[in-house]
Amino acid sequence: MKDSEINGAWCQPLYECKAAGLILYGRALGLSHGEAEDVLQETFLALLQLPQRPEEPEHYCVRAFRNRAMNYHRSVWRRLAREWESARWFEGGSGRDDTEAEAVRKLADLPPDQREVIVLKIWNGMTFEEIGRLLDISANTAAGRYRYGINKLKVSMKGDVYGRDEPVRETIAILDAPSPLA
Amino acid sequence: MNQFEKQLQSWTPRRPSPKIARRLFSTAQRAARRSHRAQTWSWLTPLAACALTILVAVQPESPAASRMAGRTNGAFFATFMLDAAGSSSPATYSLSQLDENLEWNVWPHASHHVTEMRREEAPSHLNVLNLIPTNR
Repeated sequence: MKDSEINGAWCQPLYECKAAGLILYGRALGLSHGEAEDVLQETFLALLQLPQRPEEPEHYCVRAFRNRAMNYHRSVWRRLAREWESARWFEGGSGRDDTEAEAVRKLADLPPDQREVIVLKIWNGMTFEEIGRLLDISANTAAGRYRYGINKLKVSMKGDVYGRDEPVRETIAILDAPSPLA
Repeated sequence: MNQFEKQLQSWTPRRPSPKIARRLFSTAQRAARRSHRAQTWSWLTPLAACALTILVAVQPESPAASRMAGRTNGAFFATFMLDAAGSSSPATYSLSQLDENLEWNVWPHASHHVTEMRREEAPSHLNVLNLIPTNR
């Protein structure tokens, strides 16, 4: 039996659990949704080819995804396609589109290292220790970045979306994706 | 985690397209099914062979088989010997033509005396032929 066939047994549940969070992480790292999907597919293809199951599959998977996302080379066509692509980061929900769009905008405006930690903590369910190991920083540094980032986000959203008496359903046509991490 | 963070967490990130999962795991699923089938056959085949062997070994002990065993096998062998299809095959036929013993059973000339009977000489009780009109 091939490695991919054996690894499918543990890769598939991992995919089900992590795929959406990794796509969002890819967006936070500066990729479009389609690009994040490409990186996700490449990452899991590589996982399927592994000769054996890693000791910590989740950590290995996020790290592999991050490495691939950082090394992702965009062609001109990809950049153009990205401009036309939907800017939605989250699944649609009733009555919160404006808030979500603002949150995404503010999240994208955050410094990349703070944005990254917030996405990993909130939507990937990682602890500060795990984030620290992933980014090769201490848990305290990760926690500090998170706190700074979340406070900025909160303040900016309070002064903007939460301050509105009536939400205006403005169409946010194209959101600039955040700049990639250095 | 405060209220704001909980609100952020309540937003579900966009899922990737389902075709990615299909592309990634369809081969793995097919392989798993194939492997499961192979595992099933790996124990089913010896089991079926054992069952067949036991059936064959136990068969003469059954009442019907005992009755059959008690009978003479004449009819059974006669069926084999009267192989009509085999005897009418061209090869068998040509061989029997060459068999010299066959000549003993040949009756090349009829030895029975046959007299040609004329209509006039036929007995009256057989004179039905006169009833048929002729040109003579």
